[in-house]
Amino acid sequence: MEKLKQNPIVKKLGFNRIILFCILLLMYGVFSAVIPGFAGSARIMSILNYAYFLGFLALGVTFVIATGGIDFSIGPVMFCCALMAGYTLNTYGAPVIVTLLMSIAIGFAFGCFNGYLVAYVGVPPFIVSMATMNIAKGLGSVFTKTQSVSWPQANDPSGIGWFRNLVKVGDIPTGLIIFAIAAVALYIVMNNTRAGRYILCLGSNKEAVRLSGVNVRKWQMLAFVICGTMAGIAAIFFVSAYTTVQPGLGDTYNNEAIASCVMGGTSMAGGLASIGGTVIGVMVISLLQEGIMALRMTKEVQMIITGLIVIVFVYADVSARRRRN
Amino acid sequence: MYEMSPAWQAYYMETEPNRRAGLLQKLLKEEPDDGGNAWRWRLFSLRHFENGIRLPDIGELPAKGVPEPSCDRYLWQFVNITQIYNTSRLFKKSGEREIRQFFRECGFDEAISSGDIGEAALYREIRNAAKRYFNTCKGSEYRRTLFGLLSPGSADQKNQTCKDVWKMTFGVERRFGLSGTIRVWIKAVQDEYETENPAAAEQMEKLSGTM
Repeated sequence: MEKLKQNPIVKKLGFNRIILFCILLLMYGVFSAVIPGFAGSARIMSILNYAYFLGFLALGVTFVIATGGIDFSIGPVMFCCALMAGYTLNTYGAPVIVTLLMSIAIGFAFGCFNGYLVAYVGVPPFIVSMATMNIAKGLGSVFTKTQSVSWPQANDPSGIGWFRNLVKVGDIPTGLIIFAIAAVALYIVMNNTRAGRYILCLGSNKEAVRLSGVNVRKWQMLAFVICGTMAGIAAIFFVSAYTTVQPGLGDTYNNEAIASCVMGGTSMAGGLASIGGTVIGVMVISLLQEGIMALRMTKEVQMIITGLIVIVFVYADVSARRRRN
Repeated sequence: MYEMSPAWQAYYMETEPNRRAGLLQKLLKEEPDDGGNAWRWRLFSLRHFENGIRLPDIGELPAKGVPEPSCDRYLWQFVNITQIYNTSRLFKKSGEREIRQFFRECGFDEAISSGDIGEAALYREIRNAAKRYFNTCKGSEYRRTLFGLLSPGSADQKNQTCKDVWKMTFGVERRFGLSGTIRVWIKAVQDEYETENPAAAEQMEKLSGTM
């Protein structure tokens, strides 16, 4: 195993990422063998629909985790964005493009709110994001008067269902192309820009960065702003793939997004982040969700399994760190 | 080669930039120049001011005295070079370029090529920055785990520091095939680290075999 780890190609791609990719292939193989018709294109589309919105959430939270923080509000923020934008579309007849931009703006506002409280007021990220989770849930419910919101179908006679082309045009998974572009862009931001370097360094040694004369508050806030904005974008992909959004929900997606990051190699201590790993992690979680559903297990069982996965990967991260030390 | 005159000991032991600026001003005026004063000022200014402070004679102080330091570019590189190591698996060239640029802009190449006195001043300045860096590695904020919720134990902190030191010295040297200027950087960081951790050399050797 050590010899394999020292292989230059394995070192370049990252041993953990290769293992995770093998797990993904293995899972796909097992589900395809056990569940008839699992390898069909309809099922793959369904997996991808789940992967898009979860992927945007996970990519966003990767930036916050890289600073050594956490954001537990991303799921409810995504739902809040979808609810408020959808309600504005249905009730006030606002143009679709305006409501989509509104969704991103709401996510951005939540990101600013979280970032300001963490970076400038000094409230721990855990507390801030827990509070924001409730605020987002409450705000979505109040705005929609506790009614669920339905977004128009693709074949809506008024032609306002065009936004569903964001995930699929005919048999072409356009969402996959957009998600891939977003992942590459965020990879460049994380690894090849000053902002990304500051964000990673904050997670590595915040005090040294502060003493160097860097405005640590600004960069810490930026990580939360990216995360919030990505939640707003995730909401667009959620409503493009699914129709109805219910108020008071969304927190289950926090676990899934965070699990995707951690299993992809982003360190819970900050300072180390892998956008590629997060993408593979998202695919693993999405495949697992689809597999569980295809096995006719209930939503509750899915939640138990996802929770267990989070525990396993967090434990693996902690124990690997101990072993290395 | 890197001996230090006793008069300058306090200056190189002090890690707080404002107090160092005061000491520098005082020592430059009071102590006889051993030939290194110009370099001490030059490296201080390149370290603590965004573009350094250029003066006609690099040994001459600004008329109003040493201004308040605005940054610590050497300290930043302790964190930055570790991250360059972490993020440069795929794109080695840009990482190497960034490190070479730091060596050039912060006076490393200049000081080393000037001869022993410049190199000794550089070595002392890097050790001072390393001392300041290692102080930050002892705080409760360093490497908090579980999304910032848990403070790491002292053993965990020491191990993490050891790994970071390896990455920023031998790690980048090996990954980017660096030679020349980096030797002073490695020696200064390692020497300072040995004052913190007497088993440093042995641990570095172990890490070189596993990383």
